[in-house]
Amino acid sequence: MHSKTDISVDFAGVRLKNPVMTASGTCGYVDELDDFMDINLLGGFITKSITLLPRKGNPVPRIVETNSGMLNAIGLANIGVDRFISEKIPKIREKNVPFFVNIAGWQIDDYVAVTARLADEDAIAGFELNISCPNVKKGGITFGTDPVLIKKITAEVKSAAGKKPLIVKLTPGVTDISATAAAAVEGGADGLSLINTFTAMVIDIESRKPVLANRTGGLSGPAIKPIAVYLVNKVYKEVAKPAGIPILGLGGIRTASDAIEFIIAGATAVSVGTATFAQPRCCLEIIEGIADYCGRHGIKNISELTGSLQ
Amino acid sequence: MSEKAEIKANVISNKAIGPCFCKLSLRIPEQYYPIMSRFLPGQFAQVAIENLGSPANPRFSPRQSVLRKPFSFSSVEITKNHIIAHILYCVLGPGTEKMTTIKAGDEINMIAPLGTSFTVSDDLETALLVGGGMGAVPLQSLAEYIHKNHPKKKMIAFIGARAVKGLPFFHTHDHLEKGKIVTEIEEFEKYGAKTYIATDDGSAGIKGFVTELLANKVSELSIKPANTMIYTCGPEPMMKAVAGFAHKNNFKCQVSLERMMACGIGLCQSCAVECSQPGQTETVYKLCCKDGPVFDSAEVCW
Ligand SMILES: Cc1cc2nc3c(=O)[nH]c(=O)nc-3n(C[C@H](O)[C@H](O)[C@H](O)COP(=O)(O)OP(=O)(O)OC[C@H]3O[C@@H](n4cnc5c(N)ncnc54)[C@H](O)[C@@H]3O)c2cc1C
Ligand SMILES: Cc1cc2nc3c(=O)[nH]c(=O)nc-3n(C[C@H](O)[C@H](O)[C@H](O)COP(=O)(O)O)c2cc1C
Ligand code: FES
Repeated sequence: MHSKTDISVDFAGVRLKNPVMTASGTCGYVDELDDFMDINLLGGFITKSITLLPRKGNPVPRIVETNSGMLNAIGLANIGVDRFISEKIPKIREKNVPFFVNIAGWQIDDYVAVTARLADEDAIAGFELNISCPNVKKGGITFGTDPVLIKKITAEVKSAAGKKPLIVKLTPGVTDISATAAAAVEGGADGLSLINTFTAMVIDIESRKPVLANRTGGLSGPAIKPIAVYLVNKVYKEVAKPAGIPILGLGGIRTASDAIEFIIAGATAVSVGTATFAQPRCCLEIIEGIADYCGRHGIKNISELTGSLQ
Repeated sequence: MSEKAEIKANVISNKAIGPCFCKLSLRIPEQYYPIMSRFLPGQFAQVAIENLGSPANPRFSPRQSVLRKPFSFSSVEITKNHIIAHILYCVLGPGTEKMTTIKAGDEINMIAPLGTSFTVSDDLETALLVGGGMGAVPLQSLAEYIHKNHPKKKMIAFIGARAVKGLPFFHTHDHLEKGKIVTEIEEFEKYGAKTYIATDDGSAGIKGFVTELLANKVSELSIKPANTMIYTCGPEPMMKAVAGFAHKNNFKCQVSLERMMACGIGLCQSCAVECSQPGQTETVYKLCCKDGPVFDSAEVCW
């Protein structure tokens, strides 16, 4: 028998039973995974991006498979904050797991308005700010690449969020991710999540057209994992550790060993996205695998592992 | 109880049908009977292909797949003692090419049954099944279902393809009818469905589109819209034409659509289908994997 490890973590002031959360856009709003697992066993749940008004999203094809990954250009299709409150919050209340609502928009006021609508909602543990969606024409990625805008939007959303913690989700599509991470921290971010997808393209050589109707899409899945691990480690060393801010690491995680790599690189918690599509229960297997690894390595508290890269 | 689950099925056989098609037959272990016995025609499976081997001389650039692939069932034989499910697939790319390496005795992991099904109302008298290419697959399970559960209802199948080798069937046979060669498809005839075939090049059945065949037979046999349902699956332009025919002639019509799917279980929103809403000008995107794949043709924005 291995020694029992405490794998619960404190993430931006929220206690998570374990460090594994779902990733935004890959797990629905609340009950979509219920046929496959008890989501109360997760460390946390991060919803699909919510915008002020409902959005239909992009025309199809919205996804295409690639080697060890996929491109998506969903275009932030979502039910909007009003329906989220009336239809999903009651269901979230029935769950016993911290819910983080991912917020998206086109201008700072949109983000602030959505956050303000949800700030007093007890059922919600915190917010994740999506300033890095590559699939919408205006806004999105331009916010995510400009440190001045990042600081401003983070500060304004943070004040709308009241007591609830704010995680800022960063795009890898920048020259220096530490600059954007530092801007989010200066704006008052309580946590950083990285990474979102990489802008990419697949071409149909018969028609000489891009496969996706949106032409480009975001690359996710195992193909991006080594880059994500590197970026988590870079931001951990240069920004997060000095500032005492936790990192939510994601990008291509499918197994416990993938998750552990992120934690060693500097993540306090991890999110699983694309892998859930193929293995809807994989978060639970990852949680078990992490506990097992910690036991085997005599780790008493998983926090010992965060940033333990030699 | 859950409606869908991850199922580990045992491969009975995986046989090639001509140069492009294969039939995968799966024995469903007993523990999944409660789930699989709920199968209705038109529902599909998300099949895991990641761990399949690569063929020796791949035609397509090999791909490490992380996603499952959606496939309809051509038949699900449910008896007290066994459930056997059949999938017919066309080798179109690296994923389906890998599936050709599946052997008897292998284990296949799939999530099923998924999505909505074709519906058969009690007052239905005639079911017109209109399939194009691989689209004939879910219609086979519909024919099986109607034959088993509604034996009194009349079925006529119209099957189209580019050429005879685009027909995904084992058993077609030709005979003479009124001096003309008629090709019959046993997969439909055995359920009591009369079949008519159209191919673009005339290599089987009549030369022309299946939609023309449908229109001709409907007028020749004076089939009336009341108590008739058109069920269609195939390439989108074909389904659009069938839906147009149905609309123009007041037939009700159910279409089974295909979309590129990342999850098949309502998580990702990749499989959007633009639909109209009753009494509203604003359209909505529904999910092919959850609200479909079977839709009322009148609600789809073609
Ligand atoms: C509900 C549903 C039921 C289906 N039933 C069957 C079936 O019974 N038999 C069968 O052979 N195929 C069926 N398909 C299509 C099948 O999923 C694709 O052919 C398969 O995923 C191709 O994978 P690949 O890696 O071999 O090729 P890829 O390289 O991924 O694609 C090859 C070609 O197939 C097209 N394609 C890929 N994925 C899909 C998809 N999800 N839907 C439609 N076209 C696609 C691509 O545009 C491309 O032209 C179904 C699809 C859906 C959504
Ligand atoms: C289909 C799909 C939809 C996504 N939607 C969102 C979204 O709405 N908001 C967001 O912040 N990230 C979204 N993402 C990005 C993921 O949350 C995640 O950052 C990315 O996919 C990398 O992780 P992965 O490789 O584990 O999937 C989406 C990803 C996919 C594949
Ligand atoms: S395929 Fe993911 S929601 Fe339909």
